[in-house]
Formats: sequence, C-alpha cells, structure tokens
Amino acid sequence: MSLLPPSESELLHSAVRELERRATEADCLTAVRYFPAREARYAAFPNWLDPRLTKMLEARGIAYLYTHQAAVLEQARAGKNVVVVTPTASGKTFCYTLPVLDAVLKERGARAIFLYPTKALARDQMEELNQMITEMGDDGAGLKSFVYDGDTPQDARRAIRTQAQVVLTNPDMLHAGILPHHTKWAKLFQNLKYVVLDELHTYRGVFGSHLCNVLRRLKRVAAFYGSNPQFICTSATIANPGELANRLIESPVELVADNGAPAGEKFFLFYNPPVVNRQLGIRRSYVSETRQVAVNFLARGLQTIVFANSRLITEILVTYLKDACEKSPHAKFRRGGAPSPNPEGPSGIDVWQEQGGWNPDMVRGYRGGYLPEERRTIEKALREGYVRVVVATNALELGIDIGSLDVALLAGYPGTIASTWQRAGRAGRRSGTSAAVLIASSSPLDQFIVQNPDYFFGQSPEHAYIEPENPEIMVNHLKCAAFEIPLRDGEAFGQANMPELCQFLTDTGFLHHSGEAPNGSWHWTNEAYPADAVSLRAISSDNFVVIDTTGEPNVIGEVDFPSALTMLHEKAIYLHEGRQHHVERFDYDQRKAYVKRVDVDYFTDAISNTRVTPLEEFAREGLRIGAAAGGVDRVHGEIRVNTQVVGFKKIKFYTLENIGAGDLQMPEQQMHTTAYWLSLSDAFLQSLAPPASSDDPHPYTPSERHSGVLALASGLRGMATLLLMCDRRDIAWAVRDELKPAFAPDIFLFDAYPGGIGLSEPLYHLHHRLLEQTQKLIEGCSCDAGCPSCVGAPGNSGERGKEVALAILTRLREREQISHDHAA
Amino acid sequence: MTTPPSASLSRALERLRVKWQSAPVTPARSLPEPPPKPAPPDPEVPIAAHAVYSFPSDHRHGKSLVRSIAACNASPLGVDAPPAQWAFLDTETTGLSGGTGTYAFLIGVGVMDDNGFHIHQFFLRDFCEESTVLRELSELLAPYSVLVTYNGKSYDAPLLETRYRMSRLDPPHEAMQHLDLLHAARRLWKLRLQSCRLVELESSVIGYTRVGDVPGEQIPWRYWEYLRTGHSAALAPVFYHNRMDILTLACLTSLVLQVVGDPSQRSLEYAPLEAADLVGLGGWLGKMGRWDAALDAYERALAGVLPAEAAARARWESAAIHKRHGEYERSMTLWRELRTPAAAVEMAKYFEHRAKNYPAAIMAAQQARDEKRLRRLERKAAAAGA
Repeated sequence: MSLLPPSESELLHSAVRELERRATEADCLTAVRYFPAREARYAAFPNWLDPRLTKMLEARGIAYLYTHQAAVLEQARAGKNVVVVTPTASGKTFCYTLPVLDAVLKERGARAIFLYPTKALARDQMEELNQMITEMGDDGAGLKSFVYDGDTPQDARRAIRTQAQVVLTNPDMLHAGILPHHTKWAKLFQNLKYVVLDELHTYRGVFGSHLCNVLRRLKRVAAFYGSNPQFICTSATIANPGELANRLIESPVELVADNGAPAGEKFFLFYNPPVVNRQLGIRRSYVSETRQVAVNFLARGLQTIVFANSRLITEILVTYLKDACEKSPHAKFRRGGAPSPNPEGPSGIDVWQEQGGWNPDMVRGYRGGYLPEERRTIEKALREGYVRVVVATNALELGIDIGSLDVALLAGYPGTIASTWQRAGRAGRRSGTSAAVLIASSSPLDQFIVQNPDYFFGQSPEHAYIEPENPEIMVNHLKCAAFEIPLRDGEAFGQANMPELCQFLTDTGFLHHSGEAPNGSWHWTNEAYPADAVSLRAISSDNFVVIDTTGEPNVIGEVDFPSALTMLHEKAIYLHEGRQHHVERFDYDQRKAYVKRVDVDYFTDAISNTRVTPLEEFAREGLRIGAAAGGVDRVHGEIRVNTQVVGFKKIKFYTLENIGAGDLQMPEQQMHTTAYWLSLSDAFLQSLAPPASSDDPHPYTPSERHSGVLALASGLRGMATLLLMCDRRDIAWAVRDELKPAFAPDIFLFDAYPGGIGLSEPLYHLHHRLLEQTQKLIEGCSCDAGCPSCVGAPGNSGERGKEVALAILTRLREREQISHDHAA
Repeated sequence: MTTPPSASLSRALERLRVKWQSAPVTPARSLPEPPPKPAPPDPEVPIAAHAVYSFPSDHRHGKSLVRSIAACNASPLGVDAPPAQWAFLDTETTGLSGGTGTYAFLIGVGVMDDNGFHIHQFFLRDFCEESTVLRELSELLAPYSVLVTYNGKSYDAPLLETRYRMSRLDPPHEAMQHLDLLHAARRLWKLRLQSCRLVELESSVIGYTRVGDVPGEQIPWRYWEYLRTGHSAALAPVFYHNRMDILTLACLTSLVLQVVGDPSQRSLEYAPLEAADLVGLGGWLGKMGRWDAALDAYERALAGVLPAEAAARARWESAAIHKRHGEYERSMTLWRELRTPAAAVEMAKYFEHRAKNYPAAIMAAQQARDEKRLRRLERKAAAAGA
C-alpha cells in the first residue's frame, strides 16, 4: 500500500469499483462503459488572424487552436454562416469570440450581437470576453462589450446602445427591448457584422419556433439599415445541428462537427434500482437510490453534481443529502494530509476538511426560481470547491462556469439522448478521470433506456424540431414586425400567406394599408406594444412571486405560471433550498403566494384533470378491422385542452406513503393544440376476447375495457416520446369517453403547447411503428398486471389493464398484418 | 415538419380573432363607449397636410394676453435667443408605448411674430405621406433656434427623432436648444395642484376652460377611425386640442418667465402664484442662488394662507438660507417655530458649536431625541463644569 494519499483518479476508480461490487449483488448495473481519454488535435493560428489576438493567446500559453476552432475561423472569414458542434469543455467560446474580435480589431466600427438562451449565460460569457479584452492591454483599449438585458440599469442603457461593439443579450430582450426600438440602436444595426447564437440546441420546440420568427425580424431590421449579418452558432451534440441552424436562420449554413479538443477518461454507468416486488413491478425509489450513490462518491471527497428532472425532486434530493451529511458518522477523508493541489493556497476541499468534513452546507440546490445573487454564490462556491454536491435542474445543463466536477449523477433519464450527454459532460473536463451515472426511474422511457443500453450508446441523439409557421406564433411576430417597420406590399415573412394575414390583421384593427398597391405598405394602428403580448418561452409570460411571511415579508423566489398552479396552491408544501414552506395564501390575480416556514415530514403533489375536445380534423383514416363494420380510426387534427388542478396528495418523505389529500379549486387553463388520436368504436372493444393463454377466461367487463384503454394510452405516450426523441414534457396524453352513450373512447397524444410544435403530425405517420413498438414494450415487461415501467401500475389504470391493452394492440396489429398481406 | 394544411390557417385565424376579442384589454377595442356622435352641424374638417391658425396679439387666452409671449426673456433659464426664434411644439400620437410603431399623426408648432401667434399643424393624411410631412416640418423649424415643449424631453423629442430615423432623415431639433416647461411647472405648482398636466394648469393658473375638448386616451382611436372611414369630423376636437395645448404652452412659458424675471410679481398684470406656489418659487430661486428673492418669496408665502406642510417647508428653507449667511438669530426664530426633530437638531448644533450653551444644547438634543449628541453634550458639559 502506498503511503501517498490516493489521487482523485484513484478515488474515482475505487468509487466505481465499490458501486460495481454492491450493484452486482443486487443485479442493478445494466451498463458500465469506459471511454478512454482522447488526444487533442491542433491547428496553427491562421496567418490572417489579427496579431493582437495571437499575442494575447500566446500570453495565455495558447500556441495552437483545436482543429474545429480553426475550421470555424476559416468559414467565418469566407463569409459563411457556420454552426459548430461542441461537446462540453471543447473551447467553444473561442469559436465565436476570435472571429468577432478579429473583425472589431480590424474595423473598429463593426458590431456583433451574442444571443444566449439565459441571462446567466450572457453574464458568464461577458466576463470571459472582457477578460480577453483586458489581457490585450492597450491593443484592446476602447473595445467594449456589454450585457443588455432586463437587469441592465436604465442609466447605462443609452451608452450601451451607442458604444458597445459586442452586445450580449437573450432572445427575449432582443424581441421586446431592442427590435421595437431599433432606431435607438441605429449604430449597431448599420454595422452589424455577426450574430452569434450560443447553445443552438436549446432553440427547439416552442422556443425555437419563436426564435426563428425573432430572427426574421432581426434580419428585416438589419436590412433596413443596409447590413446583412453573418451567423455563428454553437450547438451541443444533436442529430441535426446543420438542419436546425438552417431552419432557424433560413440561409445556408456550414457545419463544423469534427471536434479536436481532448477529453479525459470517463466511466458511464447505468443503474437500475433493484426490484422489490416483481409481480407489481415495483423497484426501489430512484430518488433514495440516487442519495445512496451520491454518498458513495461524496465519501471519497469527489465533487458531484446531481441532475433532477423537476424542481420538486431537486428539493427532495437536497433534503435527503443534507440529512445524510448531518447524520453521517464519517467525519474524515482518506485524503487527509494530501498536498494541496493548488500551490497558491488551500483548495476548497482542504478548507472544508478543516471545518470538520461533513456538514449540510456543502450540499446546495440550484434551479430556476432561486434569486440571481443566490445562484452566483453557489456557482462561486462550486468553482472554489466549498460546495461538494450540487443538486440541479437543467438550469445547470448549459455552459455556466462551475469549474470541473468529478461526478455527474442523473436522477432519472433526462428525456433526450442529447441532454443526457450534455449533463454527463458536466463532470470531467480536459484531463483526469470522471464518471457519470444514470439512475433510472420506473417510467417506461427510463426503463427502456436502462434495459437497452446499446440503444442509448449506439443511437445518434435527437433531432430538434421547430415549427415557425405555427399560426399563433407567426401572427404574433408579424404584428411585432409591422410595428418595427411597415410591411411592404409583396414582402415575404417566412412562408406566410401575407395578403390573407395582413387583411386579417387589418380587420382586427391592428394594421392599415397606406399607399397604392403594389407600392404601398401595412402600418401598425394599435396603441398596444405588440412584443409585450408574446412570451418566447411559455404559454403565459406571467411569473408568481413567493413571499415568505415567517418574519418580515421577504421574496424568496419566482415560479413560472404553469408550475405555480401545481407548486404554490394553498396548503402545498413549497420547498426552497431544502427548507419547507407551507403555502398560506395563493393570490391568483396578484400573482403572489404567501408562505410560512414549517417543519413537516411530507411533501405535496398536485392532481390535475384534463379534458379534451376535438375541433378540426386534418386527416382521418379508418383502420379496417376485418369485414366488421365500425372499427378504429387514426386522426390528426386540432383539439382544445382544458386542465385544472383539482386536488393534491400529501406524501411522506422516504417511505413515499400517501398520508392525506385535499380538494382544490384552481382556475382552469385552456389551450388549442394539434393532436394525433385513436378513435375506438364500441363494437371493436366488444369484440375483444381474452386470449387462450389468459388466466381468466371470462369476457372483459366494461370497467376492464376502460382500464385497458387507460393503460394503452399511457404506454403509447411513453413510446411516442422515444420515437420522436422529444422531451417527455412535449407530449401529453388524455382519454375522452364521457360524451358517448356506449364506451367508445378516443386516446389523444398531443403537443403540450398552444398551436402545436409539429409533433403530432409525424406521430400520425408513424402510427404503425408506434403500435408495433408499444406492443413490444408491453409484451416484453415481466410484470403480471402492469407496472410503472410499461402501462402504469394496476392501481392507476385498473383491473386487467395490461391484458386488455395488449389485446387491443394484438387485434389491431393482426388486422394490419392481413391488410398489408393483401396489399402485397 | 411540414406546415399544417393551408385551410387550417383560416381556422387558426378565426380562433385568434375570438381569443383577441375575449382578451381582457386590448386598447383598440376597449373604449368603454364610442366617442359621442358629433353634433349634426359639425362639418367634416378640411383635411390639409399643413394648416395655419393665427391668434392676433391682443387675443386673450384666459387671463393671458398673446402679446406677452413676445416680451419673454428666458435668460434666467439659460436661453438667450429672443421669443421670435422660439418654436412651441406639441404632437398627437397613435399611442404612448414608444417604439418604432408609434406615429406622430399631428404635429403642431406655434411661432410668434409682430402680428401675433401662429400655429402650424402638420397632419398625416395617410402613413405614406410621413416623410413629406417631416421634411416640411424641418423647413418650418429651420429658422428657429429654441424648441419649447411640455414634457418634450422625454416624450415628443425622442418620438420625433424615431420618426425622422424611420424616414432616413436627420431630425431638425437636434441642433436646437430645448426648453421643457414641465420641470419649471412642477417646481411652481406641484405643492398646490393635484397634477401638473398642461390642461390642469390651463384652468387653474391661466384661467381658461376648454369647450369641446377630447380626452387624451380617445385621440388615437379617432385617428384610426378617420383612416378606416375617411370621415374627419371626429378629428376636429383633436385639432382643437392640439392648438389649445400649444397656445397654453406659450402663455404658460410667458407667465413662468415673468415670475422668474420679477419674483415679487409687482410688475405683473395679474399674480399667477398663490401662497403655496411661492414656496415652490422660493425653492427654485434658491437653486439658482438668488437668495434674497427666495427669502422674499418665502416671507410672502408665510404671510398668506398655507397648508401646514408648505409652511413648514418655507420656514425650513428660509432658516437654511439664513444659516448659510451666518444669520443665526433669524434661523433660530424659524427653527423654534418649526418644532420638528430636525429643527431641534439644528438648534442643538447652534447652541453646541456657536453659542457654547451646553444646557440649552442638551434641552434641544433631548427634544430631538438625538441620543448620540446628548451623550457627547453631557460629557462636554461635565468637562466644562469641571
């Protein structure tokens, strides 16, 4: 045994071995993949790069670029739009800062806009950029870059508008604060050379569909001032970065995907919590398993980030891990006495050990809703090593600088392959060893992934879809566009049918046509400021503030509108930094919730009701069920969805027992969206009979048929998110059966956003594969009567749900088989 | 993804129409009631892109005479050009939100010459005429060197700048000196009047009451109605509103300058300032360093009927001026009258540092509940006693 204390790498290897040993006993590690370190590939600085830049880089000790950075520089110099795919820690910032700084050094008037999906990222990157400018010394004198967002002080704004060569902002501010006031930004738009879109992959679905329209407006305004900016985009690994960039900026884009950055060795483990009841398909809670796994790494002093998929789970894990630190008997670390890795002074871990090792303060939460200062404090403590575990939502998935961590734990499958790699990449930077562990929940998607590791490791990550022609989104941006600059006759805006739309906006009092066609234009004639009515991210731009009234009233956080209805209803337990607050009053009109600190052993989970009404059908096809009349139809169309939070459950920590419930009357929410649905006739359902293999030969009762339909809907939805490779929150399901005399239900899978984001139409076309894969999922599950991993536990769907669901699928597939044979 | 079938666009638009109509507030449709039907004899307004209305020198606007505008001297406010070089400007706009989609559809400019006061009104008969109208406005403004507005620094001037930029023209007012009367009006009348809106000053200070005016929030609506229908009758009150705003602005400017020129108001035809306003005047004169005039204004204010708050302010400010000039006795009289903790602190300071009267200083400090000072004074008193 060596007398030297173990290195971080050895500690990590030992933690992984320990996990393997324990997991093998319970048979719950389904994959252990090892990714060896990757060598860097370098390229020389291009000879045209401004010498003031190369001097600054060399002073930093950088003598070469990575190959992908050099490739982006050449494309940008050639005047091309470019998108570079950059995994975490591959030096993506240089990909756009170098071409832009080169441009503004050579031509002082040149300007650029950097767009980041969050305010926090813009602040982070401004510091990085200003650092580079400072390091250039006199060479960089006079270069100015500023963040311009909702937090920018009023008195600083005028100077930024006229002086900043580089403006760092977010799409929301561009949309509501900059474009509608473009005359004040004349200098910027006259000289706009580059637009940078960082974290391009986040611009998908609703956000991406909005952004595409915002960029149309940006290009219109730039053209008004005679400029035509080039786009440089960075993206995490997704299946179609080039296509996404092309759809967003609507111009040809060069793709740079060959990453030349080095990476340290890495373990990637899949962990499936052990089964505790096979018949019911019940596994141990993935949340408490995550706690166990985290402690394994924590005990070795390895800095860990835990990703949770919801704010609630984030807070529960913070509570669990703080508890673990408080109660743990381990007070020392094997690293005691190690030479400090930082010759300048004690590292975070040393200081922490001096303070006595385990203490609850080394565990912090991080999610949307924490106030900005609180977040900055946590980020800094992470970089400095004082905080050893951070439990985060996707708020930390993007490039906020929190230093390099040793371990990433993913509590639950993040929903997409891209996001899984992105989160895993938060551990480990360019050298050394790191580990990522995915701990599966019992949801069908998690179970599918964790039991089929080859599917995950062999599959390319998801496609990112946008639907910029969504009528509601596009019309709202057309209003903004007309406000900014009158729409000329014959002018195009995306693929919009401009004459029809302009006429519509005239009839509704927003536009007025002036001048003689075809040389006239449409002008804004409304007092409203149209950008205010459009939120780029959500159904509603509203936020609720949470006011702690335990002592002096004090705002402790903000919650977005859809979450507020489930997190802040009266009697809810609102968790913030692991502290529990009881919601005393929920003021819907004022968008406020008043809470008081409490100490209870439970949390709350809201129950909502969903009602669906079909409005229009775009396509319908009858699936022939033999010769019998009446059958099953598949439909693509538009629906109205009404949802309402009607109650809540109280759930005990650790045991997750249901220990009470309450009724609620929350305001009903309504949206229109697009859907794919299956219409099942009464006759079809009556015709189902138990298979010969069934334990119970009795014909299905109406209530069993009902259970089967619910079970099938739940299974279809799980498989749909996998087939479309979209986020699970993007597709919702509902069953409608209450309106008919006989039991002839509709099963809806719908886009969970108003107007739809282009997911239900592909589902309609993928119908056959959807049925086939869902059948495989249910057949392949070893449970007896349904479990959370296939069609939901029997308690959720009802008696014989799994059997009936399978019977429906089998019958549909049989008939399809026959008709396919006939066709052939 | 493909776009939804095209027939669905109409359906989507129809749903949007319903949604917008049921939305709680969209200003265009949210007028509580349509503007009153113009009385039958109301003619359609002759719609010209540029019209001029003149008021002769002997025209009376409330208690003001148009002639007085020509006699203005604005040097106390740092404006040396004579009134013949001033342009009084006010705009009527399609909204208050700002941004490039807000238009100035009516721009009025008042100028003075030997014959009287002339108001030029530039009207946007349709949006496509905007650059023509702006060019004409530039031509009109070219000989004038001072722009006078009411709240124009934060409203009309930036709005016009935006309009000119949208037409790719240089704004004419960039080179002009800008006198925004709102700030002066606030200083003088804030203590007395509920609001310092121009129309409020018009009735309370100038003594003129408009007949047939239009509420400001209806103005955009009336313009759009004209654009849609081509009927101009509903616009007549808007033109009138704009003219009255400009005439009142000019008369008010003259009044303010007279008062600043002769704070005693002895030379004025009528005294526009009441006791409370004199307190505001005192404050303003003090800011200009005209101490004697300020003291005089406060004195006259205190001789009149004053709300308690204004009276306290007059005493406090006067005391501060006296203190500044070493007239402590006068200050002490006023501080005694004030009976506020802040005044007691001042008295304590006087007794401590000037009069060296520690027992009196201790009493004053007790009154002021200034514990720190009290402790120090007790130490000093003890030391002096010993």
